[in-house]
Amino acid sequence: MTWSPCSSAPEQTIPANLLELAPNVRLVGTCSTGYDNIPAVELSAQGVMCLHVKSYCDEEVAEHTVTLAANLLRGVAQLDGFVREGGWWPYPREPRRLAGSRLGIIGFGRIGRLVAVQGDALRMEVVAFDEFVDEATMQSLGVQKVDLDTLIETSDVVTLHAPLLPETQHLMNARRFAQMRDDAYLVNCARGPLVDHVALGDALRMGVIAGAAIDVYPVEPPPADEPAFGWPNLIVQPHSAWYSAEASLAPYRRQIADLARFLRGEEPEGLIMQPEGTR
Amino acid sequence: MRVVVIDDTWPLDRARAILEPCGVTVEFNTEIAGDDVVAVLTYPGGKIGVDVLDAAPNLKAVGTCSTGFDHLAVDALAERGVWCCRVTHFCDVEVVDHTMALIYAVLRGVVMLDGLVREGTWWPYPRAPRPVRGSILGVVGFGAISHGLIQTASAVGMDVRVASEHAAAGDVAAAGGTLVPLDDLLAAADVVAIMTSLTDRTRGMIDAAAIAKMRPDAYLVNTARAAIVDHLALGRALEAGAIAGAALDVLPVEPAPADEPALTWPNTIIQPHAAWYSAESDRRSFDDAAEDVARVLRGEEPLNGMSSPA
Repeated sequence: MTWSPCSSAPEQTIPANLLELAPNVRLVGTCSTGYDNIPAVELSAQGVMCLHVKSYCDEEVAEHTVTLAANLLRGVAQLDGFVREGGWWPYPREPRRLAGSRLGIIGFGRIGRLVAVQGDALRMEVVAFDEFVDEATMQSLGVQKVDLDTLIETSDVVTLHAPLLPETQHLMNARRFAQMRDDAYLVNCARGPLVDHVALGDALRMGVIAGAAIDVYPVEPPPADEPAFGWPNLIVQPHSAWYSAEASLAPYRRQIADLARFLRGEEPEGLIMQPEGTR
Repeated sequence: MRVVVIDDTWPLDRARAILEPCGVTVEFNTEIAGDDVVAVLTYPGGKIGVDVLDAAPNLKAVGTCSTGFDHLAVDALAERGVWCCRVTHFCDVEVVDHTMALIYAVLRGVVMLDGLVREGTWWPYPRAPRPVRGSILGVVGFGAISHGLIQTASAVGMDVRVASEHAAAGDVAAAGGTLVPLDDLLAAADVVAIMTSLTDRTRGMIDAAAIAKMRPDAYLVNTARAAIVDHLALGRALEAGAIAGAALDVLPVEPAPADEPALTWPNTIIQPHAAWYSAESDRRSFDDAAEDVARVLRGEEPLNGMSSPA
């Protein structure tokens, strides 16, 4: 065997000069959907097949997102803390109705669409922004297509489901937080760098927005002195939206199945882009 | 003629807007006294006995901003010609929403994971989140609120089982659930949601034996009344790991005293009787009570009068 596969998890980064270190690698796979840990463009240009796992935890991420949206609107985590400090009655937190609240979805891919279906089932008013998805597709799922400014300015909950790309980095920044309603919430179960972390801290501490829930961070795991742990009205999660017992095994199973396809000379399902010299 | 409001949180401007067209003035007062007092607006902490008529002999109506009315001497007052009115269905949407939020919270583990990540844990493994779609929700009771919960939970893809002594299987199926015996529900459910009213038949219904029938990975959610569940048996089950966790919006003593045992139970979310609340339901609880009192003052029958006066 003159080549070898190389497998990675999302917390491991594959270097762009991989072929200098291991010249016979012909395939790199990450057992995650996000592949910002693989220099896919560079490696594909050198003929390396780069794989990720498509949609093994879409439903889990959508459910976790809706859980966080519902828990922010109903104030569950904060009220739990309030009772333990001797408080009673919901007044300090003022839970809001889910029914009729506006859920704004930025990024209407597979996960964004599942979030829309769940939000609709909870009788929320669902709007979405995605420049690559047309109005009719959104309408077929009961979703109103709006521009990004409208979504950010009018939503009770803004939730991010965009991929992390150079142009989506810090999609939510100080200017965007200032556009949000002061009683609105942000949910980020996508990727940490979609949000300007420092600006989020400022927005929470100054009451520019009512609260947020984050499952992802600029650096993961967050360091012990992660400032977010001191911000008010914030639910923090340990990168858990993707998880269910089934989803925890699925990426390994699918990665192995894809490797088998590759070995049989078939096209792998999780190909990120066609490598050079294989077209 | 005067309407006396004995609840200092009652929005007086709204009560005035509703009642002054009946030719009365509305005032906050801790004392209910005078021949000119025709109605009282009260709340669960403000008891009204039949002796109120000693000082206010021309009283015609008592309105409370609550569904519960054990603080009102309903029958004795009716006998003396006084209507007692409560408010109903003012927070059905909110209780469904809050119960759904708690069902999602226990299955996805969000409250416990928030605590774990602050303590330095990474990845969700210590409190593995579970799928919501396909999980079995057991709804105990089939009233207006459980009807809404069954519809919503089935819409998000849960498999909803319902136990109720009086429900017809067809009505449960129309709402999106399956009618089953209580024992079957307890044995099958990922989450058991208590949705029945507190009566002599339901008091202590979820006792140690019932809890023992639950799956070791199941959760109990109670947004109804605490006395339906044997509180100490629930605590023992949680401490022994006989069930996976609980979310409680109601406690045997409210507000929770400092020595409330549930405050130390593992895997337990506690809420300060919050499921009923939204700005809209809060307003409706006051307005609906004032409007029913206005009906009595106009000589009409109230919508939510409890015992027709002699």
